[in-house]
Amino acid sequence: MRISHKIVVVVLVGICYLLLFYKIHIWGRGISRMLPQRYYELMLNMSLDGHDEDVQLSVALPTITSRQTVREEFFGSPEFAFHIRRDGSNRWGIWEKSSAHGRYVIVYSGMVRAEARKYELAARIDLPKQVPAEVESYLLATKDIQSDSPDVKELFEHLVPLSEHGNAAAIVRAAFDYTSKVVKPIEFKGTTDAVTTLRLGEASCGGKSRLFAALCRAGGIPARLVGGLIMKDGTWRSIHIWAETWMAGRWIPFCPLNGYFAEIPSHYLVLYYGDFPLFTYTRDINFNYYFHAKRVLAPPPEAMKAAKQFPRGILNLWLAFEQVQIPLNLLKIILMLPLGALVVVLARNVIGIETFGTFMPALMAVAFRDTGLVWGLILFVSILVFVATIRYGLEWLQLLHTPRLAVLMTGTVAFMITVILTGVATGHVLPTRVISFPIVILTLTVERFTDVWEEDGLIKAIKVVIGTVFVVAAAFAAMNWELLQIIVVTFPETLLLLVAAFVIIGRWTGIRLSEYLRFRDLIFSKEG
Amino acid sequence: MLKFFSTIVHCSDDVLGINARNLDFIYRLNLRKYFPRVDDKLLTKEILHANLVPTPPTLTVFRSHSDLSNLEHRIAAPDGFAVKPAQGFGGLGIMIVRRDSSGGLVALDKAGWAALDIEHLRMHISYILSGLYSLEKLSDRAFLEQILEPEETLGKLSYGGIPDIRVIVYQGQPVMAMARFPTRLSHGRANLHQGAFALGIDIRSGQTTYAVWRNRNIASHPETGEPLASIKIPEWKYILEMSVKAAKCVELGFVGADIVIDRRLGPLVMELNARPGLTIQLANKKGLVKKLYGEKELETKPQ
Repeated sequence: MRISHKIVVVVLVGICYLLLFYKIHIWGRGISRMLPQRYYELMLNMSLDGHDEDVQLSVALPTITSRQTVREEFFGSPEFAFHIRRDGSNRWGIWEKSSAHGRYVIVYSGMVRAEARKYELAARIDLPKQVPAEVESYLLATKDIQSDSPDVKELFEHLVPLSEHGNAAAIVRAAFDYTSKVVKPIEFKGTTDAVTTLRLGEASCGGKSRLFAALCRAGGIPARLVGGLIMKDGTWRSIHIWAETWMAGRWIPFCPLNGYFAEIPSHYLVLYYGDFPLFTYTRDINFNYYFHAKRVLAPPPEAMKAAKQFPRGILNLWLAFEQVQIPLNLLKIILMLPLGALVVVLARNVIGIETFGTFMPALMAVAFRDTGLVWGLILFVSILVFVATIRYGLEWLQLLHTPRLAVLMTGTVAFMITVILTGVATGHVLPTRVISFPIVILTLTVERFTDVWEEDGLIKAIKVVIGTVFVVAAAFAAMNWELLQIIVVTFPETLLLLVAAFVIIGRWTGIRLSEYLRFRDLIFSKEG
Repeated sequence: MLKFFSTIVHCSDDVLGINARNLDFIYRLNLRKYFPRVDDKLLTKEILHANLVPTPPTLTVFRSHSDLSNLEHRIAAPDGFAVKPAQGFGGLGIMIVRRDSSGGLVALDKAGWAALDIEHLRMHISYILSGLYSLEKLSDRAFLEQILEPEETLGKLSYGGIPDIRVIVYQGQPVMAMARFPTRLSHGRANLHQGAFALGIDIRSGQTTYAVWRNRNIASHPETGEPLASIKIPEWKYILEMSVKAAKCVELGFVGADIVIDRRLGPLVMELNARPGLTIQLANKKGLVKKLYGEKELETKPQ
């Protein structure tokens, strides 16, 4: 590096620090409230068939508590009358329609966020002498939580020594250890009651939680079930059940299946409290459903309020974007692209990996955002194989370059449509998201692939495919790293550091890693 | 372990990598505005011809698709010709065509010499004109060059095409050289990354030294298995002189000159390269760093 380059790097880093310093000084202590937070975009897709009869569907919606935030809810389907029935913390969304005919799709969606909670339990907690009226019912035996059954009572006596009968902490610990460690976990879709769980010695989340609640109730501790979702990126159908006990004046969460003792992680979303089915609906409507969720970053509510007080949010780029209805997600993609470029630059100039196209891998990583990395790569490779086959078959027609490229592009489109149609036929949700897959980028990549294949052989072409896949995966990982996203979105001036990095790498004359391999005979034989 | 790595780093001191080649030599010594002089082979020939540097004779030039209408007439060369894109790279798009005993056209393809349909030739030239083999260009010119017959000593080591000699000229000095031989694997092309092999050449004596094939040092011919003995390159002094002169003509400071020795015409400059490859170091079992940075007037040294 010459002195001029060093000056440029120092100036870039200096400006970045000044901007950061100024911003942190202005925001002061409120800085944590300005950071974007992780939300899930949750969608519940339900379908049913009407046979000219009245249809009613009731679903538990995510609860709104100090632990859970629910925003931007949407209760789709104009044909249905909709209202929410509240029952304590529970919210039942009810869709109704008289003389429904044909197939209907009802969609609920919302932005949800839950916090992790962990409670320290004292070694000794007295049993509650008096409980509030709304908690009282959670002491009684029910059909599936048979706390008065002789079997449960016998197990309780066996697990809890007489001296600890008045200690809620000891009872809960004994009940938790038994249900989480002794009862074997199994996959089971239906409802298992407490006594059945005890007799079988194995159960899924519901059975374990019911037995846990039954043991607690037998010991005089109010206990209730909680129904909810384990949030993740993707599509699923199963709901999760855990339990809560009333101790020292509050509800404390326990999940015997996944071993959370007096603790609830942030990806547990509460839908309802109590032992209910999630859905209740009119008979014979061929009801079907799935959940779909995607992790997103969104501004915290406090920051939105602050933004309204200072309308010109120059300091805060993403709040300004949010105010003109440009979602944070789009800004995130734009701001993370230079980071993808950094991965490409490192891969090419420092490691020496060959890829199709210079920034193609970074753009592909953006495109994989909707499908997820694994599905994106599977699609990419299968399209490559498919279109390469077409090109091979086209050989005898001897078409000119551009028309041939056009045939390949049409082939890519046909492949996409086939994937989507297959998805619709098999009821798989993923393919609908494939639409946003950039056909042009793919076709050009395919063209490069077949060129390399023709000129340098299949082995070389496969090597470049592997290189491309590797760089795409690395760029994807970097661009989807939530911590980096939060930093870059909140402090876009950090991009100046990236420019400084590009300048440094741009003047780096060292030997690339791959060149150690290429010149191995020259480098390694010299000493011998 | 640490010692192992420091040994590797130390041993790689003399190896010129792509980053250093680009930054310290190509960008610094080869002005971008002069690149067309070497990237367009027809232009290169024009310049060299004007400066009395011998090049292979051009038979005909195709500038547009309409020039293809009298193709039969244009290919009347007696013993054969090479079809080339003017702005091709890496030997892509080059087709070697000869006439068999009955006067029909045969071309060297992946399987060997095969009959060539004139329509296929027309298609190939049309591809070239559409820019298929040109670096980021939308169109190109194609030309036919007289086919060359390799001189004996080098010719017997090659398969199909014609071997060439690469001389790297750095600021008017020849610094490293190698001879490249087409193989069956390279489909008769003298391109190392397509499977040709190379022999390093001692600059002073013109004697070949070590052999390299697919980035590995070898002792015998990769396809025939015959041991590779050192050979003396004919007219070596003259070859070095014409390399230096060719580099001077195009005003580039870091050039790879590709020279072929024809049986009848003698050494000819086939083409010039502003981004010479680095495998030449393997063929000479010697890095370029000391040679290049050792020269005067250089303010940047690699770490």
